[in-house]
Amino acid sequence: MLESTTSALPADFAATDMMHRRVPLLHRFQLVLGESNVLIKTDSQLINAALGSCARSSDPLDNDYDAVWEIAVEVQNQSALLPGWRETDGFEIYSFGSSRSLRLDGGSWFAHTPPLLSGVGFVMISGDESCQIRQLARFLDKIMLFFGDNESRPNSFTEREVHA
Amino acid sequence: MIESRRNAGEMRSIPLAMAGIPLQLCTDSAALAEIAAGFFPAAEFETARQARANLTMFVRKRRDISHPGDNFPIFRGRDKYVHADYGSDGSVWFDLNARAVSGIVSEDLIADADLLRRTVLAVIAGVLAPSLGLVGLHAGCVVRNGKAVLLAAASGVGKSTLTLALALQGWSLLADDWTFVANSPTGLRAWGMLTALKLLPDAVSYFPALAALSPAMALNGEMSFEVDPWNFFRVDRAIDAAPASLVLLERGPCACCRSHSHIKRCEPEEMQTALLREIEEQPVGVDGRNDNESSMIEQLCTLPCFKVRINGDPAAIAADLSSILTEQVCA
Repeated sequence: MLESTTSALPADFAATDMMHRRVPLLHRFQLVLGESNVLIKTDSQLINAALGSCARSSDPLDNDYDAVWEIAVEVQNQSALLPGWRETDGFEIYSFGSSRSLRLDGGSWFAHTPPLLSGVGFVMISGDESCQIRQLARFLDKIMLFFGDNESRPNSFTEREVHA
Repeated sequence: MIESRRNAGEMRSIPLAMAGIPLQLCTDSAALAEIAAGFFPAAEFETARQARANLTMFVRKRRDISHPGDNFPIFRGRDKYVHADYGSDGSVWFDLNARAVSGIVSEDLIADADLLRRTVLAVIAGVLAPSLGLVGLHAGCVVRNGKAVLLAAASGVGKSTLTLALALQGWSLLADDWTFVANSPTGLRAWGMLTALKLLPDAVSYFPALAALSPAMALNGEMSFEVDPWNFFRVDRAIDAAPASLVLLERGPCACCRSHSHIKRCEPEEMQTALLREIEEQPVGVDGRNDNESSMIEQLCTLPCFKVRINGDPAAIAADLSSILTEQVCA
């Protein structure tokens, strides 16, 4: 897996960024999703290990991709789970406006607007590095399931579909 | 919604308004509709087609037995999307370009109207405001003679404390922390929301009535008293008013005198810089991001601007300030 890193401009940082909307995503990876090549922009190099066999070994600067996923990774000090939450394999799918989103326990989510495959998300992880990679892999698995790429990974998740 | 419709009551469509801008709420909850209608009082507009944003909110049972509010909400956004996650109390999604807000909240959250207003409705207002062409200023606001004075300051300087002190001296309270400014046919207009007033624990020394309450964790993680100022302190409420003057607050003793409040004129450029510094820049991908803000703030700063260095008893500061500001709103 090749990786490229771009430099962060000072303008990437807003004085106020309460929702972490301007976290710079400096690392680039690619994965194969069905017939599509997806460029992942992220702030964590661990995504590379989490991609496993889905990683695409090519120059990520060649612009040969069909979609871009922007994924911000937040490492929690203690537990990725919010107080009162329990970790489960379940996830929820929401529809809002013309967009869809995937929500996992612990605050992780991914959203996109069909028919585009491009989307954005946040993933909350915790623990040691191997634990973090496992959580990132699970998050990526669920995004792939979200896009209906059920053949590449086993579907062992509980899904609740919620249209609002 | 598949899950909610199974148990859902009748869907209802409610006209709402935020700072005079029509919104439309669809919900399966009569209780939520009532609370939202109080928080976003409806403007008179003809049909739902005129709504500038659509809110769809469902209510369902919680997934676990933790208490409402135990799940401290987290807010994250990227591109045109924002997600407010309330754990087992629900989830609210924003597509800012479509001006679509959809969410599910728990029955327990609906049962605590104050918690719902503070943690869900106020968040919807704050996140949606820029997409509606509103500028959310980090400023308190008091009103007299139908004219508004905005009190801008960074967090922790004492906006809420001074705003309340002014309200206790006869000004109407419009907002203590966030004031929304909108264009109207008659010029700029400042709007407040029905949000709790937030005071740090040390405010109890200035407002002894707070001793009857216990501070709790606010959304920004600070321990604070959050009270309904209009009911708890019996001050008058203003919903909207034409801005007449701006005050920039700074904390600390004055270098040149010993007064509680050293008041001087403020250059418009300094005020403009201070207001813009507190504006959250909208991300790339959001339509019309921050289009209005600079021009509206520039327009606001043509009003008389003052800078006040505050130190000590807020009642004394408010008394000093009130006489000067009254001249502005009576001019």
